[in-house]
Amino acid sequence: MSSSQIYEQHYRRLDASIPLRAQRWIPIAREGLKALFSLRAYLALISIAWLPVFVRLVQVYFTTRFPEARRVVPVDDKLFFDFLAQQLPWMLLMSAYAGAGLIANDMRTGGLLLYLSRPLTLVDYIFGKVMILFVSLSMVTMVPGLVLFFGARSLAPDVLGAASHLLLVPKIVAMALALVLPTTALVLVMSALARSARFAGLGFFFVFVGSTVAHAIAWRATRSAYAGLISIQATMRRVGEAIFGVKPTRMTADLPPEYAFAVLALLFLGCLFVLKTRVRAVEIVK
Amino acid sequence: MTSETLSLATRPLWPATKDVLLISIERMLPRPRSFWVFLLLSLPVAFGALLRIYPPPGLPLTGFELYGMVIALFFVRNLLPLVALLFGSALISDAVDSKTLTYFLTRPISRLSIFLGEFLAYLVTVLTLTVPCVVVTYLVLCAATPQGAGFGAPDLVQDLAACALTLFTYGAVFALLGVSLKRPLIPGLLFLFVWEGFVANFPGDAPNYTLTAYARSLIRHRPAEEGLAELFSKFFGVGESVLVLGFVGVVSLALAIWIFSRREYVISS
Amino acid sequence: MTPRVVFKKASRWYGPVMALNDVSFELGPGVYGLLGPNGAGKSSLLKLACGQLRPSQGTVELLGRPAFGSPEVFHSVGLCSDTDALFEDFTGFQFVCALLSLNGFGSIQASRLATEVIETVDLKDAMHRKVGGYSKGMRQRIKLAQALAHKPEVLFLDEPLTGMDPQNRKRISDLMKRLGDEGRTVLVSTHILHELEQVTRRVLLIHNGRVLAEGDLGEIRDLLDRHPRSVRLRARDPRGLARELVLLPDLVSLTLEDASGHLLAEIRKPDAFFARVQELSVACGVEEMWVTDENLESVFSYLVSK
Repeated sequence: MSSSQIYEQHYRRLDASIPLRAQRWIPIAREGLKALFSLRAYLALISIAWLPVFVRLVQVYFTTRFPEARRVVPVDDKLFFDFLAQQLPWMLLMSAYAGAGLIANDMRTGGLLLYLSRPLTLVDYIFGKVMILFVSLSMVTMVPGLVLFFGARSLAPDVLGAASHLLLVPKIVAMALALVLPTTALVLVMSALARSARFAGLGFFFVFVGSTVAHAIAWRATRSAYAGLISIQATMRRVGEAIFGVKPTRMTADLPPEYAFAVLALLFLGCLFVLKTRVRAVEIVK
Repeated sequence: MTSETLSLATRPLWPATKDVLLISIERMLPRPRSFWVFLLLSLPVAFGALLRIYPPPGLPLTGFELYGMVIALFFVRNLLPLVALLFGSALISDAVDSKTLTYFLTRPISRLSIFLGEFLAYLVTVLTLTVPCVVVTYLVLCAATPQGAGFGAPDLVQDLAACALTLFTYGAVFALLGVSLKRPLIPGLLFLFVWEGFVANFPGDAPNYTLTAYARSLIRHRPAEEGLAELFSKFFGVGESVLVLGFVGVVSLALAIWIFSRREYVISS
Repeated sequence: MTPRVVFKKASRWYGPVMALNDVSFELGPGVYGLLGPNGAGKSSLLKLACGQLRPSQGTVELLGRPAFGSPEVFHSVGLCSDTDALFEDFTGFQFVCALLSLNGFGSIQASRLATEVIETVDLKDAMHRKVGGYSKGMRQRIKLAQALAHKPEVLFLDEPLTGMDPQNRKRISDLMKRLGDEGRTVLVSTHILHELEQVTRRVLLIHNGRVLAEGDLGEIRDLLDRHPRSVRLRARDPRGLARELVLLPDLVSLTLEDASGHLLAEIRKPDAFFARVQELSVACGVEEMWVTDENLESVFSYLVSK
């Protein structure tokens, strides 16, 4: 006797397309930034990180009053490179403060499920978080860098007033991006790997400081500029030196900037890949 | 033994401390964070192995000098204080964050036992992670060299003691920070990289007020400093360093216990 | 017999917020319900009772000693808190054993007691699995197990039945009753009245940080019955239904809402009212009925207004 199947239902995916709004990451970024800007410690950190801008502007003003001082403290590309390089510690503190909990807190409290129960994709979520940190870090690097440039240009038009000096704007933006983008990605990876903001923040410092110290030791052991490739800080600096065309330091003098750039790009892309694979709303406990 | 057969007295300090210690080690040591810290601390092993397998031409330092640099720069100056910040500041605040402190506070044990048990667990954990990395780094860099592995063995023992004292002192300081502040991370980092990082290399007596100046003085075979540090670095005698670090550690620990014993912990759902 | 838990004019502030206000009561052996709506101060009261918090004013005594700063009393006290926190990397068995070791039990004794209590809360099959992988109900039961394991004389249970299925609710309710019958003091906090009814008749009613009433649940029930409750009804023939309902002696008021066609009744004896509506349901085409204020908050508002 033959039998014929009448009906069988398997698991099926929803075939219908889900209409999604464009720029879905914006509410995530907006709300995250709103929350940060309501914190006094965050505002204090930004305020302190802006103090060097005023110090540098006083320096520029001083050189306009005493032009001979420019021989000691010249107002040129190096001024802006040095400024951005000196903003690095503030950027690191800001990363630990504003970035460490961005994903870790959501993973720990189950907040990620709340996000993903809205018409959002995982990529929207990650991009929203990236933007929160990107804006926070830009507030202590790119934005003060640009304010310094336009402030200095208005204070010393004889030195920075030429149209050619406007090229400093893309240079400042480019170096700030070289600082901010890999840092953002690395902090968020740490945040996704740890369940606690404290451990994420410290994990980031471990990697950053660890690579810097490892570079110092490797350089002293080998005196090879290529040792700089293991340091995030050294590669950032080398890329910045190349962008502004300033004389490299002894430790990275012979390091081709393209190599340093490639390391930073790899770090950025690698971190994005880890983020994409690691951020999961549900964790299976074995 | 049931409650009926137990007298209503707080359990003696050391047995209670031992029980807290055993639970806390179980909760600290086999965790992913310990694994990652171990990986970072073993970076010098990989670095040393690489140098031994592919020695660069004209290597300016001997294996023992390299080892001294790793101990002074990598371990004592940078990574161990960070490890202490990671674990030390979390001693109590981790239990508060995970809301498990209530389980300890509702047992017949004193808060002194809880804190000491947690702190000893911290020491056991960080030493378990650090000691093998230091010893293997030493062996990789110094064994089968013209000087031989035995050449610096006494220094290795002293270095291990220096590492332990560094972890003890910084751990106690950060434990104090952890029980005093709700968010100890940023103040801890500021202390490590702004205060300790800069003031230790200031001229005059400024380095007297940093821990790192005493900790680095314990590494007798440290490499020569470079840059500003070369000009201004101040070093102390081993005895003085041990005394200062031990004193700061004990005082911080006592303060931390005092604060922890008096504080209420409002842990709610 | 000396009371085991004594609150004397105890108050507690969190900064400017008053969590408990001038609370006095004594608890001896038996099961007591701590009943109050969310935010009434139940958890603060339990935290004061088990020495997690210091009273801002007054005194709290546990087994004859000040509750705060007397860790020795925890030989005989167990707490199942409302926080969903466990040692996530431990198995259920390890978790209970570890906490027993803090009570001073040796490993053999701890293993025996842990196995026993885990069986009691019906977690034997899962006792060697990590608690991080437990369901909500299982987590609640292992929390209860650690509170019971050392056979304490005084037990504080904060919302102990949360997340449990009906079968386990029954099991744990029976267990609480049994503990009370054995002469232990069990203080169970909840905001669900019928949960308590299955366990005890003795309750402490707490609202806005004050103990409003302390006594038998029957008296509370009587108060509830005297509390007019609002019931909304939707029927095919609302006017016909209204004609029948106005005849009920315990009806306080009846309104026909023109816009929705709903009937809004204020009643005193809900049981009699519901029975009558049941009888009329076919004749008057009662399609839907719901009580609009049957939550504890409204009951407490009523009690406070009295």
